Amino acid sequence: MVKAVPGALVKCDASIKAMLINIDNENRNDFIIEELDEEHLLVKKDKVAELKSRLHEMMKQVLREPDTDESDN
Amino acid sequence: MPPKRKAPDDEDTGFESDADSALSDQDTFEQLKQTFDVAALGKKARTNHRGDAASFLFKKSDQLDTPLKPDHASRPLWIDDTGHIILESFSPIFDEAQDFLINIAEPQSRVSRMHEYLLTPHSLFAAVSVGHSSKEIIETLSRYSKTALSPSVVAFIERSTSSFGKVKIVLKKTLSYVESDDPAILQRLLQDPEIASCRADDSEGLIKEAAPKIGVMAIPGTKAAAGANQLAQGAAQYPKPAEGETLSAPDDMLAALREEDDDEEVAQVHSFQIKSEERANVIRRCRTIGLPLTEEYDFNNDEANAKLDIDLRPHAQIRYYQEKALSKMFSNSRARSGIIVLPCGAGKTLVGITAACGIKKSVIVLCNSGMSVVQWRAEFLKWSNINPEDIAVFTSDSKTRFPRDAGILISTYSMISHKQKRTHEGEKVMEFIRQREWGLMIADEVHVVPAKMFQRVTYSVASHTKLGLTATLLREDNKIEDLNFLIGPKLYEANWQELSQQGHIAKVQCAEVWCQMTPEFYQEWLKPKSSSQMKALLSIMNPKKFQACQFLIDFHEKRGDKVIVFSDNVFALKAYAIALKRYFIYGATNQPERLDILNQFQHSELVNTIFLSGVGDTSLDLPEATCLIQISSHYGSRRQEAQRLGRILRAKRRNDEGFNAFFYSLVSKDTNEMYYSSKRQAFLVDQGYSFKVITRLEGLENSPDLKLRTVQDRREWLWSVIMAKDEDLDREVLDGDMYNKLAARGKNKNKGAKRTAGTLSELSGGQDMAYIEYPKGRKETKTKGVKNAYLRKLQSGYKNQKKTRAAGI
Amino acid sequence: MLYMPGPFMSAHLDAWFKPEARREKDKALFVLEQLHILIHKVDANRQTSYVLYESFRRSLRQALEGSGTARSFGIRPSQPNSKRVDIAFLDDYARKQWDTLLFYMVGNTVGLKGGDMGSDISDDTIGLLKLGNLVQSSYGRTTITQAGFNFVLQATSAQVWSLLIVYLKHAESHLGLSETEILSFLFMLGFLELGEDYSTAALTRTQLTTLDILCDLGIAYRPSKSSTSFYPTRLAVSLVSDSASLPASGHSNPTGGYIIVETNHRVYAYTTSLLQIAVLSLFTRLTTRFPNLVSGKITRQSVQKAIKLGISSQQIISYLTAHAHPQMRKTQPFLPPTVIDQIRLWEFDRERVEVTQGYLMKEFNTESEYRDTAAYAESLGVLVWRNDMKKVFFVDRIEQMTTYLERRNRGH
Repeated sequence: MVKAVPGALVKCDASIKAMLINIDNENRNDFIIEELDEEHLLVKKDKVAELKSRLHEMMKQVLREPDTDESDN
Repeated sequence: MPPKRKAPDDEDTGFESDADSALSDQDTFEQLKQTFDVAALGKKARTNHRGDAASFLFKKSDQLDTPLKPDHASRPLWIDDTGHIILESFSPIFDEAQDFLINIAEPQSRVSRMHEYLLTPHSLFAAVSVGHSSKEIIETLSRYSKTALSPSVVAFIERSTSSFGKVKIVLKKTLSYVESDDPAILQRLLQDPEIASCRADDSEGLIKEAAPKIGVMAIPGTKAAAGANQLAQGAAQYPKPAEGETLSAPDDMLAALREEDDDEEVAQVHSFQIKSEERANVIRRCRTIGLPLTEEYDFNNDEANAKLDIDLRPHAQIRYYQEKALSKMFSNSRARSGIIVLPCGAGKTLVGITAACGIKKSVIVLCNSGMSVVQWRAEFLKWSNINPEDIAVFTSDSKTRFPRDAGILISTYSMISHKQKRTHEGEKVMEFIRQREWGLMIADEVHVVPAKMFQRVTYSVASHTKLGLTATLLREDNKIEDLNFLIGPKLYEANWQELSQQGHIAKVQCAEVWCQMTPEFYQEWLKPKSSSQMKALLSIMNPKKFQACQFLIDFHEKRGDKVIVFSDNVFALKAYAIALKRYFIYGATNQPERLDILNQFQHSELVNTIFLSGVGDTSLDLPEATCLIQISSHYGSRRQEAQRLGRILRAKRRNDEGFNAFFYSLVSKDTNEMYYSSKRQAFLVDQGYSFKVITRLEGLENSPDLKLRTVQDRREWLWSVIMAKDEDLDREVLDGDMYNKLAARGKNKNKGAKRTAGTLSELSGGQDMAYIEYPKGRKETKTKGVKNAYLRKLQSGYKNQKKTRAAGI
Repeated sequence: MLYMPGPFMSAHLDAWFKPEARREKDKALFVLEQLHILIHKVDANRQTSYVLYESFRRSLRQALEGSGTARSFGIRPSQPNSKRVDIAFLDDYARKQWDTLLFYMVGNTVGLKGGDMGSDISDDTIGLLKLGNLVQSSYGRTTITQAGFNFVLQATSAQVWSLLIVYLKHAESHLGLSETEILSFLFMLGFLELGEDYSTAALTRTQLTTLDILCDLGIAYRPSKSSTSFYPTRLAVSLVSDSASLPASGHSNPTGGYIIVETNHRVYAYTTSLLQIAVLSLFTRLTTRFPNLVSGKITRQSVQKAIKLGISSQQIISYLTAHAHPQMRKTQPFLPPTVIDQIRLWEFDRERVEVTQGYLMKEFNTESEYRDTAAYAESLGVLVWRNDMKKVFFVDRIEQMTTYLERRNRGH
């Protein structure tokens, strides 16, 4: 029987995907419904906003921002 | 007062070690900054400015209410309260304005249409020391400026320059003296406890003697020199002051000083002796208290030291910018110490040799590697008529002295500053060096020398003049300031874009290639347990980066380019080179093998790509190279980026029609490499180089023989990274003279050889290994079955290396 | 075309032009379309044709015929005014009013208030900007919108028309004013003589209301609210003619170009205009200002700040290109390519994930069921992503898919 699973399709780079999976793993798999391929994930519909903001946090945490304003003189 | 510094016991600290204790005492520096802080002056001035609603937008300075001159369109620059200058390069009088600014200010950005400069205490000190007076600087700036000069800038220039020229530091019979016409000034200096504590003679009064006379000279190799014994007053070519004031203030100033001398029956100078090892501190202190010391060498009248028979050969043609640089060093018929900054490949060596030919006294040249020592010697023989016997070399392999009273000695910083017990022969050469006065010390690649090491050098070598040469007067730790006191001010800094347009250095296309991390690598990268070094290694070993590297090598080899791949990390260097079947050189590669690989790279059509670790960053002269690929680098080091770029600037083919050299920096996306990359490029970008970002290499997917295509290959590759030993994660520790230091460290040497064998075994046996899991350690030796000819050669190279080592220790 | 019953075939139009003049023709047509004078149509047979915008056509006919109530070329006051103003005054007035409007949009966004920009903006004008979705207010703060930034990037004459169109739509639907009356008044204004004063006597109530807002905008000038005469400004005259457009303020450069961008992302702008400074500061980190130059740098942060406001990287690039200093115009493209790339990359970098709400279709019984259903989804235009290996696909709408599957299953 064909199933139609409601959700949000998230398309992203491999590295972003790895971060999203990481977030999911650390939060009782509360975000991701299914990993589709290297660049696609199916995410719970109502969790997209939260996932995005957590991703934002994570990027801030693990990556140093390139080109800070202070670098110019 | 900083106590006399004890050098740390650990002799092994590398040249660029972050731990190297600065000579610059933070207090002193702060004090200096306060005295001269133009930014603070600016802030004060700013409060007096009338702004408008938009004033808050301008983070640095808002000069809205500064009166604009009616004929501003014909003037080329703006200058704000903080000494920050913006220059229009399309102004009809750009050239003269640029010539002037380079003398008085630090270039900040010289891209194409607009250039930026900054007035600093050091740049102004350099300006007065090459003969510009305060008055001349202010008048000329004011003439070029579109707006009225702000009082704070005028005050700043005056304060930085006014007391210049009253006191000198001189060398007499290898000893250092502070000298002045005015004994009162010397007494004032001696009131300062810090200076008093550096005094070497314990006599109460001052030494008094007759002042020497002044002669003139011409720079060898220039028109002035060719046209008989004319004055080579290079520095006097600056624009005349606007108000029709007399030209050549420097001459006036000196003349005024001389007149004072003449007033007395016999001109007298007074002096006191200082401890040679405190020389830099005295210079610093005097500048802090506003009585900067002039350091000039009247070599023509130096009867005490023997003349060196050296002249440029007729074929040695000095380029205009080399002449400009040298004219700063030699104006007023004296030689003065300082630093000349020219891009790699622009002929720094010839500048040094010409300076030697100008002074014609004994010369000591200090390099940062044994390889450079060899190159300097060859260059001396090529460009000058020096008798080969008169060039002595002092390295770990060779310890010679010159037979006559004057000569040239070439050595390395680490040889001279070496503190451990020397061999008998070494000690004899050191004694030879210590006991004489040198007319000129040439400090090559001066930016890499830590202050404390250089201080030891200046203590051992009594030289009248010091000439620092470098392409990049940059250090991320700001210790570059120290060089101002240890050597002298920056005398000249060339404009990279200009030299490139004129064909003196190669045109380079720069690109930053963004490589996506593969999922396996990135998941590993994200793991909290991954150390920052492991993260760095994962970023370097990113399979997509490897593929990009492979693709670019193929692409450029097919075009006929000679490619150098740089990796700071030796683990990655070897992994890449072996996987791609190319030669590599790193710290532990021995000299014969090194020379052999370089030789093949230069002459063989079969060897078109080599991999170099940090050893290749400086002073490797490879004019065949036309393409650079950088896979790993030292954090945000702007200097390393510029030095590496320098490897292709002297490309032999640079004047071919439409020739371009290529510089690729491969960066793994979403890693810290991105952050460091933009930091690294900052210097080059301000020299007008622009990095094109490449997010996708066209044709990479379809290129044949692309490695690491399958998930399994990538997993194996990843596994090798995870299993890397701790020492593999680090950047290679290199020091000035790698042969020297490495020979002294048995442990390191063994490791190197062993590791190589290990990786070779992987290569030979690795292909048919059905991988699932590796045993804990890596297989150590299994060197059978190397089919590739290069690698066979490599292997035999290592055998030799082992043999040499066995014999050597 | 004014009197033609049907559309004018573009093939006929082409016949009037020499092939080498094609570019000029296309440019003219483009301008006419932008000004809402001409509508480009494609019929069922893929024939292209042009018609005049209906209200334009009507008004122009009335104007030429002198029919209707409009006095197409205005009425001079019966008595000469002793306190007449000159063209320079009118230009100054128009520029000031219009800049005030633009500055309101941009200046508020970057935190600049009124300042030296002269008179305040009227509430009506603010209302108009909001109606046109050119600015938005939240938490008491007014910021520019993407449409607003697009507006700022346009030439003044196009800006004037864009805003008048907002007014026209709004006047008819909200104020119950006659669009035709307003439009004919606008055209009349366009044909009036610059520097002459005209009587308000012949204007209808609607037109008098309109005149108020036109004065606010600087399109017309009226010495006082009760004055019986008014002057058209250059903005009015440029409604129908491109040649008389108002010179920009802030720089004396004839090309209008004032910005230099270097490959190290440093920006130098020859300007004294607060408006231009405000626009620059939307996407540039400004550092230093001299009486005739501001300098700064385009940084990742400064670009992303602009993007947060809804300004696209393309708009930034267009602005910098359109206002490139003559020194920049010596190369093609005017801007350094690496800078263009970088600004775009910074935009991409902000949005690292692309999210589509919908449904994942999976667990198909047969290959053919999967293939047919996916094909159907594709034909509907709801297919977002598919993976044939896994036999799954994603759609952004489900309704028709369910019906399709039900029907298909019943059929089997």
